[in-house]
Amino acid sequence: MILLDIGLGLGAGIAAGLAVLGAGIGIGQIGGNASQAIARQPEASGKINGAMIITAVMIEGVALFGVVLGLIIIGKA
Amino acid sequence: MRQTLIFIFFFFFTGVMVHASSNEKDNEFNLVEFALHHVGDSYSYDFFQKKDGSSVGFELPRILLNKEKKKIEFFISTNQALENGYLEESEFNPEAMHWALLVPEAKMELISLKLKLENEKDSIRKEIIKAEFEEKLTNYKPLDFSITKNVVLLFFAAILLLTVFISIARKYRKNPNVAPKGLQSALEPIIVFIRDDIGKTYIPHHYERYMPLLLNFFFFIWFLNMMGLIPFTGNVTGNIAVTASLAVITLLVTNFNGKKQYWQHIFWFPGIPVFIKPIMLVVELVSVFTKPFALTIRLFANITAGHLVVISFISLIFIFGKVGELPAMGWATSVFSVAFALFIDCIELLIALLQAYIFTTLSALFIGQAVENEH
Repeated sequence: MILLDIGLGLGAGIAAGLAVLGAGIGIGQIGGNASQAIARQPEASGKINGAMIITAVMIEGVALFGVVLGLIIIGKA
Repeated sequence: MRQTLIFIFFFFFTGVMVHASSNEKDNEFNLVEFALHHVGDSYSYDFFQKKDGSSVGFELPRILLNKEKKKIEFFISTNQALENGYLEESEFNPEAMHWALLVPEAKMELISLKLKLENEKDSIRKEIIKAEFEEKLTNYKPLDFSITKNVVLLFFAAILLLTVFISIARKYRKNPNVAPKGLQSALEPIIVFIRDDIGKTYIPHHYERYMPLLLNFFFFIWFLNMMGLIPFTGNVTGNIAVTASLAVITLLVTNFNGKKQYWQHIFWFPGIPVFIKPIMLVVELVSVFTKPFALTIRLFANITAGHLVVISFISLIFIFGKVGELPAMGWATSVFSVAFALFIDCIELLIALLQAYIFTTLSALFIGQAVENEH
């Protein structure tokens, strides 16, 4: 049973961690590319900002699913 | 001068929070319990705790639907409910939430079952009695419609919104072509921003119809987020029931207003080979429910995480103060703790606005996708 608990704990941590890792890469790319886009075309910054936030939020949603999954796993331990 | 005043103001309020957290009953500081109590809902409105562990505040009314008697009972406080025969569930179930109640009719049955459970030696029969005991526990729970702390704050936010916006709307009706004044000119840019950058952008043709909803979403969530940052109030948008209710509104509005195109994309996705269409059907049906679910979790997680970070920084003072029983360590930590908590508080101000904006934008996006006929 201790092994199972350890496994569940590790699993929850890895699930949340990997989800956050992926989201970090994704949001980093969005932020970097949005800054580049604004630097190239400053007059379009409003539209770019809106699109950036929407996309970042979508990725954040996926990351939150990972966190919720981690919480569910922990709840079983 | 002004900056100094603002600093003193913040320092004073952070100090009040410190006062509340430093006095645990058994002198053991339990961070997790304290933090979860702080972000959670409760049946009393506490301002702070005194040195002996008692709270300064007032109890909130309990409204319970007794399923045995089939009637709604109203009590002015939890204590009055207990005096009228209601039982605390924690007497029978150590895992029960604080102040969860059971109906008075349950008393004899539960006590006899508990005795039976204690006297039973055989392990298999013990399991059977335990299962029966737990079933009785769930059956004897009254339906709880109590005015909790979060409900009080929801009412407060509603009244605040009504007074602010009815007064503004009246001004516009009275003299529509006059430059805005006072509160009106503070809120007009935000309303125009929501109309132009959220409404018109994501719901191009029918935005007027959904503007009341979007404005409500934005200001309601924003006000509640900001209220959560004020001391002596509570964490309302960090309650998953509140955010889930808001997301369910989006779900209903989206699906009741869905046009032909929307349903076609769900049930028979156009423009792809036929053998993929059943797979897309499953994916699209799931995504109908994941969208509001993501809305729920996003708002809940962001706000609760912010509160937990602030409370953890403040708690560091007491954790360090308890190490080796050196109060000086606590004093030394307090400088950095308060500075960091203040920093996170400032970020929270931004997040309060951003999360309200994101919730509104995504709702508009979902509604827009459903109601537009042609792209």
